[in-house]
Amino acid sequence: MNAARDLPAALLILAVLVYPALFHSGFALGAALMVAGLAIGAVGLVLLLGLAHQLAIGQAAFYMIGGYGSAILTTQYGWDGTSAMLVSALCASAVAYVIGGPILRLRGFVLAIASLALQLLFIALAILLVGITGGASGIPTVPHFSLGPWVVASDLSYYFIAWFLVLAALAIGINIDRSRVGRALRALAADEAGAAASGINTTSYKVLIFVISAAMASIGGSLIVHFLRVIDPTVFGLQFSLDIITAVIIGGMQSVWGGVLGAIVIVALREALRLLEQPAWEVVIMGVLTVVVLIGFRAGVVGAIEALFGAWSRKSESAPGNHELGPAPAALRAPTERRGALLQVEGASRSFGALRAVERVSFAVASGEIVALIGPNGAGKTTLLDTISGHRAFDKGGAVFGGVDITRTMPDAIARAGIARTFQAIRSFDNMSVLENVMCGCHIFSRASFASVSLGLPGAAEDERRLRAVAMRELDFVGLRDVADLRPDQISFGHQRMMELARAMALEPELLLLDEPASGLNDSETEVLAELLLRIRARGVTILLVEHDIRLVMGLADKVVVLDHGEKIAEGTADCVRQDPQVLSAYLGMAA
Amino acid sequence: MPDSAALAQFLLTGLTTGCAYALVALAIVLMFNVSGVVNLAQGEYGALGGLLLASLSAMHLPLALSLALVIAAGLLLGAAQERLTIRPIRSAPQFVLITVTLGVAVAIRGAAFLIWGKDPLNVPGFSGDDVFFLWGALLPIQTIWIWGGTAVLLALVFVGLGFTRIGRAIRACSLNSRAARLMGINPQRMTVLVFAAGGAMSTLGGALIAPLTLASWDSGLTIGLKGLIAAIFGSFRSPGLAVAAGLAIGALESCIAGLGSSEAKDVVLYLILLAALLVMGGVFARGRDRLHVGTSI
Repeated sequence: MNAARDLPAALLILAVLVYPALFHSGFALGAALMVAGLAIGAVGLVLLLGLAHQLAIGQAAFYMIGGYGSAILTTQYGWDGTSAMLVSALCASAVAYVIGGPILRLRGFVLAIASLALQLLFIALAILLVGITGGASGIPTVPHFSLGPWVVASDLSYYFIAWFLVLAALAIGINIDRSRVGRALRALAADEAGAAASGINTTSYKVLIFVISAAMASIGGSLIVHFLRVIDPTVFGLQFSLDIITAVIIGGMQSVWGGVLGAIVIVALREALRLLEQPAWEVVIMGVLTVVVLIGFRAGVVGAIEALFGAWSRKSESAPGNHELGPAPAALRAPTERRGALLQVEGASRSFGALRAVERVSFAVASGEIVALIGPNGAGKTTLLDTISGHRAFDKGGAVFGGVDITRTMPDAIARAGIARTFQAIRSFDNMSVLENVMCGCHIFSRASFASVSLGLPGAAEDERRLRAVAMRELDFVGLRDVADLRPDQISFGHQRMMELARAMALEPELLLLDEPASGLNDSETEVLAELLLRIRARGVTILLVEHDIRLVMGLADKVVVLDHGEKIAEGTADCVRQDPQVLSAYLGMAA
Repeated sequence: MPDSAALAQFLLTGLTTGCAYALVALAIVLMFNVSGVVNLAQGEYGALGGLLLASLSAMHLPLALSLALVIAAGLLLGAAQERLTIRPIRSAPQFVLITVTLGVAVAIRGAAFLIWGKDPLNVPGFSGDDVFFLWGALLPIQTIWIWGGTAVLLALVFVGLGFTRIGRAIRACSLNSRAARLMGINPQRMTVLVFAAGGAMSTLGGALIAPLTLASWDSGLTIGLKGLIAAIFGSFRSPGLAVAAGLAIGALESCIAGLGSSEAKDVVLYLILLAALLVMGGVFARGRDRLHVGTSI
């Protein structure tokens, strides 16, 4: 047990139990029920907005599905409240899946716009379909919530059910946050290309979390409707959508707790203004608070409490400070017998407009070799590497890896197939510790199902321990054990390069693509790197590296491929290439 | 099948509301290209323009003065939004910059609700409430003001962008703000300029259509949504396409309302818009370069 971790949960449970004893008016219970309904959807939105950085404006659309679903199924079909709530949540998930699939491939704000359009569509539908939804006057006769045959008629019982659901959502949210799923979401939020290079399918994770947040919103909607006992198109209007977002931001979007605290703040503000008879101020205060929090203090109320009490931080929750290096874990990737060329590039071409960055380049990399790709600035080296790793598409030609055509394969699938890479400009995930960065690298070896992750089953914990052991093995390999708990922006540039290398090695790749690993390193760091590359090869990993540092290349490479103006001008051993007149001309401008 | 007069009625009416969407879309595209920020608050400027004009005309100020005040308010507010909420967090992640504009939208909505209340306000037509006929369609005189005003604004923007020094500087910033800075252009100044101009364009657009639509505190999100979708049709790159898409969305909306029942209008409209977004998602997502692996070759 971890006191810092469990204290907030214990305090919240205590508060839930004590509240009705202190405030037993119907008004006070009603406010707490509204908080509960808002909080469940807000927890879902924290996962989507705070972790994955996907802004959805129209979350009330899913409250509408829950609200109308529960109302219609209980009044017109005589279902019990629980089944109606669950089926509605399934419907909301299905809608989120259908909408999310295409939309979340696009970057950034398109989801915001599409989700707003979805909500306006639902409001219009609710008004139009009078026979089903009661049109503008809605459904005024929603029954009490029921658990099977037990009708929950008292507000107090319903209060406990509602807050039980909030605690459940919170627990699921915390489990997701601390798991490989949470890491994958934060990785794609920080850097999609880097996440894909670690084998994380960014689109499917975004869709997954959108679906989860929709289900949570729908349950919140069902809850609220059974409390209000009516639903009409104005209950979950645009303002409700804005309520959820402002709750999440003010509460603190970097922590699942922010959803619950934000919901409390929003409802408390509303009720306080009502007591002061100034309800018109509500929206403007919410808006200003949102802007102020985003500009001045992005951690919100949760961050303020953390700052006050120190102990309540995610870091202390997730990473025990002392990383014992147990027995080195066995390799996770099944070994494959390779014969001949591991990677075969055939006629690779890629242009940008009129610029032919790579033009009909062919070469092969044999298993166990270190191959260097060199050439003057603008020769097309990085572009070639990007096409091999799947981060850019080939125009013509392609690549075969281990006998499998990977020309049209997406970068995350290429990573899973066994090609890891680093980037010229480091792509670290600055919203995580160094250790977690490297754990993203072995993301693909996770075996725990999403269900066991979100419910916090023992299998998920075992999985985490395994990934942590692999990540520590790789950090130890590059000599970064001591900085495992720091954030990437707290360590030196040379260490960041090593961290990226450890992240790539955590994938247990067969082929490692390195894009100028020595750039920005000083001489002694470069020497360490050279020695490290030899140790990597000794582990049976084939290396294809782009490099400017000729000394490094000449000392290491079994084979050198020289590019100039996008075309291959020479290929051979280092010594052989060094004598090549075309190479000399390209590098030194001498006449060939 | 409706006759040609009815069709003209729908189309011309739609082009009128489309003008407001087009001006919002144009402002969004210009701001995005110079600053990299998608301004979700832009629709609120439109709502604000209408509300301001309602108050000013209730005070019986001369029309020219009222419009000048509306424009000044848009300029000031746009500049204030940039200085107060964008510039302090210039280096924040993209999604924070966008989320802040949503916060600004909520603040403007809230302020509008606080000041003007929840009932929509009536705004008198600029030249009375007479009507005229065009191709068999019966249109309010205000339509002329809207078309004329929009045409003048669009001409100013496109001529300004194409042929003036500041226009060149703005285009330079939108192509490559670092290179522009090296050429002695101050991108920050261009950003505040574009926010101010965009603000003024949108408040004026909102003021122009207010006599036909009434001015309401909560109209901003829907105006903004249609402006944003129009901007997406222009890939956030092409001001011309965004304007055309804004006009087309207005025309589409009015044709749906005219041809079907008015209750079905919103359902069909948002279905089409959502479907268009989904299709664009499918089309644009084919390539892998969306992951943007730096610019170096």
